[in-house]
Amino acid sequence: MHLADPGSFRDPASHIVLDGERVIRILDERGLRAWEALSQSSFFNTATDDGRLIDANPLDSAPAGAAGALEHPRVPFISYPYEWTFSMLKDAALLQLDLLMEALAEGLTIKDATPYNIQFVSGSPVFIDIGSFESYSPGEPWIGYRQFTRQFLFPLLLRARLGIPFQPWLRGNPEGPTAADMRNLMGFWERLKPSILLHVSLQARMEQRMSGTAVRDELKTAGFSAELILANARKLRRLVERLQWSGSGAGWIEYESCRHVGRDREAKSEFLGNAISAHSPHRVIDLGANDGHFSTLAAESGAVAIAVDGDEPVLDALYRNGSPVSIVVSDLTNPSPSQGWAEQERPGLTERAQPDLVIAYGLIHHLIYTASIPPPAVLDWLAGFRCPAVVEFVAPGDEMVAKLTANKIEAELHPGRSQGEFESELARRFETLDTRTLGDGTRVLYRVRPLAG
Amino acid sequence: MMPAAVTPLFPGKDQKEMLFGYLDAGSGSLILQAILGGAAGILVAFKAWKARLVGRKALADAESDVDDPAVPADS
Repeated sequence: MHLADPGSFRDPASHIVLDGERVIRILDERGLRAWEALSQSSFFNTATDDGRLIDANPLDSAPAGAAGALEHPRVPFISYPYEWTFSMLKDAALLQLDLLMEALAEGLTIKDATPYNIQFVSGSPVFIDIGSFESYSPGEPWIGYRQFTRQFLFPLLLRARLGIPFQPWLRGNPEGPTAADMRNLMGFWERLKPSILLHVSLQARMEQRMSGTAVRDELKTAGFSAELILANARKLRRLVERLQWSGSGAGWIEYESCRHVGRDREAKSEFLGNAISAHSPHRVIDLGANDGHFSTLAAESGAVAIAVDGDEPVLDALYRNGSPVSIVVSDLTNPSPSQGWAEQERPGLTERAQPDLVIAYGLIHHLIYTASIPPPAVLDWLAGFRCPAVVEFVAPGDEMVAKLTANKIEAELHPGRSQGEFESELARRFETLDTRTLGDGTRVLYRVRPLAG
Repeated sequence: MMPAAVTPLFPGKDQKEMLFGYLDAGSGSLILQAILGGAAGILVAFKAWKARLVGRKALADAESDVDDPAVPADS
């Protein structure tokens, strides 16, 4: 039975349905013609062979009412641009431009330009929307230019030129900032830079003056050609390639300098290794992943590993080091919710993760002491994943807890923070399968499994 | 004659021509990308801009003829 993918409905020519684990693309007549043009190009074979474009195999029979159908391999974990780091969005932008240029060279074009068409598989960006390719009609402009600026270029400029994280903006408005928004954010000197002058100020001005007018015929008659799109794409590529974010990797050094990190790493790795051997998980979510050391161990065991942390610099360094884990920048006290059309277009983080093992190392004391989440509520949340977990408890006497509570008074802290109270609450929700005390005794690891029912 | 400010609510020729697919490309952004294509593109953008102005003037003239009761409809 086919279930419509709630995130694939905007393009009438091509949409995705799910049949169990199978991913099927349904094509109408227009979509079928576009697919035939794409599949006959040499760049399609090159791009699928090197993993930049998702594979697609035509099915012998299409569902009733469809002109054709393709099958794609399933992407192990779907993430969204508002969960990516700077370097991830940058690489996705470069992939979008490269594929556009390669397509144009063979008489094809990409009819949109959105990072939602790109996913990260084993640490590399992959373009997943085969339906975005279609034959290029001579004289047509690049329809996706404005979308490229709003969803790729402007978010990158926010971070690189203004130091503003793009994730909250894209989460609040997935269409991205407008040229007018960007112009209002840019200072006087920044506005004088040629790239800002053209892509931001001039675009904002022209959008304002020409709103609601038709220009396609005029451009065609005036001699618009694919060469102009290529020239624009080449310049955009150089611009994006030069964008740097100075914060990338900064958090890494800070994290590595924490005393307990090096001291406990080997024991925690061994404890996790035992959990992986015992439960053979296919999908592991590492909550508060920091430098991704434990997610990487899970990935090395063959599982799909999802590393979630609110610290973008550390995760950006993890990505740039070529880690195969799926990276998610998200504050765990405010994780990505279900949103978009009918609140189903982009499911929330927990719904997408569906783990069969949870890693919660070095996490719950931050939730309890920094975010003021009551200890029982933290355990309710972990039990909500309905799978085994490895959990690190940090006692009130630990040096990190002392730092976290340095400016708090006792009355501001929730009760139930001692090890005895923690174990009592743990036993109400989980069966404890294994424990290990670390270092100076203020940290304890638990491997737990939710109680049946 | 329909007031200019109201026409976007009633898709006419202009609005139909704007629709390239399911994505709104933005008229100003479309002209801009010709400029971004370099020297040859600037000439294309200028020609398109000029054609647009000529087209708008012709449309305005035609509409004022229809609105003017002194001018016969078939003139």
